Amino acid sequence: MTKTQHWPALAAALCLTAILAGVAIGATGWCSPVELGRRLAAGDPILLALRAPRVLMVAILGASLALAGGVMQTLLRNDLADPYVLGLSGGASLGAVGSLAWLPGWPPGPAAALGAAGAAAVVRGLTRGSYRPERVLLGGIAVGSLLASITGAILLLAPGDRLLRSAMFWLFGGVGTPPPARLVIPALLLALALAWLARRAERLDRLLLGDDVAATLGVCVPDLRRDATLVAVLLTAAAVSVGGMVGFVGLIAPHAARRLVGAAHRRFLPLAAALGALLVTVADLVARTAFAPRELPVGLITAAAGGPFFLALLRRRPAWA
Amino acid sequence: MGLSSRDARRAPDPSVAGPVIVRRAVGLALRHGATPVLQGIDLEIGSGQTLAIVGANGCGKTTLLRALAGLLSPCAGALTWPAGPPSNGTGMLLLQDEAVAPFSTRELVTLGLGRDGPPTPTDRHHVATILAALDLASLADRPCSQISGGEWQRARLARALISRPPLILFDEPTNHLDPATRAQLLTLCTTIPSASVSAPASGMASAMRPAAVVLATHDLDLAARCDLVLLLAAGTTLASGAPGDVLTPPLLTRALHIPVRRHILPGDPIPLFRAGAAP
Repeated sequence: MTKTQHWPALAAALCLTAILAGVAIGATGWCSPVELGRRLAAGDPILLALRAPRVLMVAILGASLALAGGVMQTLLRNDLADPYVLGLSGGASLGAVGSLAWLPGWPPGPAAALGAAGAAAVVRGLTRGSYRPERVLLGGIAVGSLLASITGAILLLAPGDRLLRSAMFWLFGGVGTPPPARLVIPALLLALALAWLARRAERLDRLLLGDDVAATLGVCVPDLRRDATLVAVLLTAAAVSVGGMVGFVGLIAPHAARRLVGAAHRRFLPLAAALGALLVTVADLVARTAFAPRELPVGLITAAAGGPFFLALLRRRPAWA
Repeated sequence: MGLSSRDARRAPDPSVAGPVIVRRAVGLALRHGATPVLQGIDLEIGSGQTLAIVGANGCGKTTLLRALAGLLSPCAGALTWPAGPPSNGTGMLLLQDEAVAPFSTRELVTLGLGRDGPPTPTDRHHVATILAALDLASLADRPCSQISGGEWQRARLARALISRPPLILFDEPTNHLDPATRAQLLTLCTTIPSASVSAPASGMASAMRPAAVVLATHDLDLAARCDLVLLLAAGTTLASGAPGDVLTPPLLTRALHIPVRRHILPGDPIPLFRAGAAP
C-alpha cells in the first residue's frame, strides 16, 4: 500500500519537471534552470508567448485524453477502448479535413471538435435501447469507418497535395503554437471534468461490478453512463480541437495508472491524467527538437515511445497484486 | 465463521412480533419483449427465512431474482415490500455471471456500502468486521482475480451483508465449487439471516431484523436445507411450500425433466437426491 501511495506525487513532480523542461528547451537550444527562472521573471517573449502556451497545451491535451480514455474503458468495460471509440476519430478527421479543404484560412480545430461530438451523438442515437457495450463499440467502428472513407475521398480528390500534407500533419497529432486564449476552454473543461469525476469515482467503481449490481448499490446506471460519456466526449473534442489526433496516450495512460495503483477510480484517474500529460509533454519536446528546425507530429512520437514503454509495463507485476 | 447456528435465528426476536413479510409477489408476470418469462407467481418471504427457487435451466429463476431486486417491473400482478422498501443502495443481488471485479477483496466489500467518497474510519471498521466474520481477513488485500471460487462467493456475500439489506438474492451460490467448499457454502447460505444480524449496519440504524434470503439453485441438497422452496417449471409455479412437501420425486421429475430419486438416510433429517434413471 505504501508503495502505491507515492505514485501520484511522483507523477505530478515528473509532469511539472517535463513542463518546465519543455519551456526551457526549444529548437534554438536550451537554458539552465537558473537562466529559465531569470528569463521567465523578465518576461522573455519567446518563452512566455511561444513555448509556454504550446507546452501547457500539450499537457492539457495529454491529461484530457488520458481521462477520457480511462472513463471510456470503464463505460464500455473494454480494455481496448480509447477516447476515439464511438466514431470520434472518424468524425474529428472529417471535420478537420473538410475545414482544411473548404475553409483554408481557418484553424481546423473547431470543425474537428464538432465532427467528433457529432459522430458520438450519431453513434449514441443508433445504439439506443438496452445498453450493451459491444453494441456501442461496433456502432462506433461502423460510423467511424464510414466517416473515414469520406475523409479519404476528400483528401484524394482534392487538387494538388497541399491539403494532403497539412491533413496528414494534423491527423498524426501535429500541434501548432496556439494563441493563449485558445487554451481557456480545454483547461476549464479539464478542471471541471476532474472535479466531476472526483464526485463520481465510487459510482464508476460500482459500475465495474455490472449494471444490475450497480443498480442495487444505488447507482442510476443510465444517468451515470450518459453523463460520463458526455464528459469523455467533450474532453476528447476539446483536446482534438487544439492538438489534432494524438493517438495511444488515451489508451495506455489509464492502463499504466491502473497497473501502478489499482482500478479504483479515485486513485487511477488523477494518476492517468498526470501520466498522459507527462507522456505528451515529453513527446512534444522530442517532436520539436529531434529534427529541428523541422517538426514531427507529436502523435508519431507518442505512438513510437508509448509502445515500448507500455510493453515494459506489461512485463511488470501490477503493484497492487 | 462466527455465525450462530441455524436454530439460533429461529429464537423469537425481541424487537419484532412474529415474522415480518419482506417481499410479496401476487400473480406476478414478466415478459422479455413479447415472450412471457414468468406467469402467475405467488411468493411471500419473511425476515429470517430462506427460500430456494428450483427449476430447470431457462425456467425463469434469474429473471425472478432480478424482479425481486426491483430491476424489472412486472407486466401483471403485484410485487411489494410489505415492511417498506429498502433504503437506496443496499446491494442485495449476487448474480451468477458477475465478472470478477478488478478490485481487492477489501475494496469490493467497501463498494457494498453504496456510498460516494472515500471510506471513513467507521466504514473501514465495518469492512474489517465483516471480512473477519466471513473468514476473509487474510485475503483483504488480495485481488479478487486471485482468490478461489468459494472465497469469491464469500467476498460477494460480505459485499451484500455490509449494508444490511432486508433481502438477499443469491444466484447459484454452490455452482463450480469443490465438495468441501460446497459444503461450506451450504452451511453459510442457510445461516445468512443470522449473519445479517451481526453484520455492521451502515448509515441509518436499521431494525435488528434478520435478512430474508432467496437462493436460485440447481442444488437440491441446498434447497432441502431452506425453510421454503418454490419449484418453477417454464415460468410458472409447479409447487411451493416446505422442502419436504415440494422436493418430492414426482414433482422434481416433472420440473427437471429427468427422474429424481430421494433417499432418506437414517439419522439425517436432510434427504439426499439423485437425478437419472435407477441403475
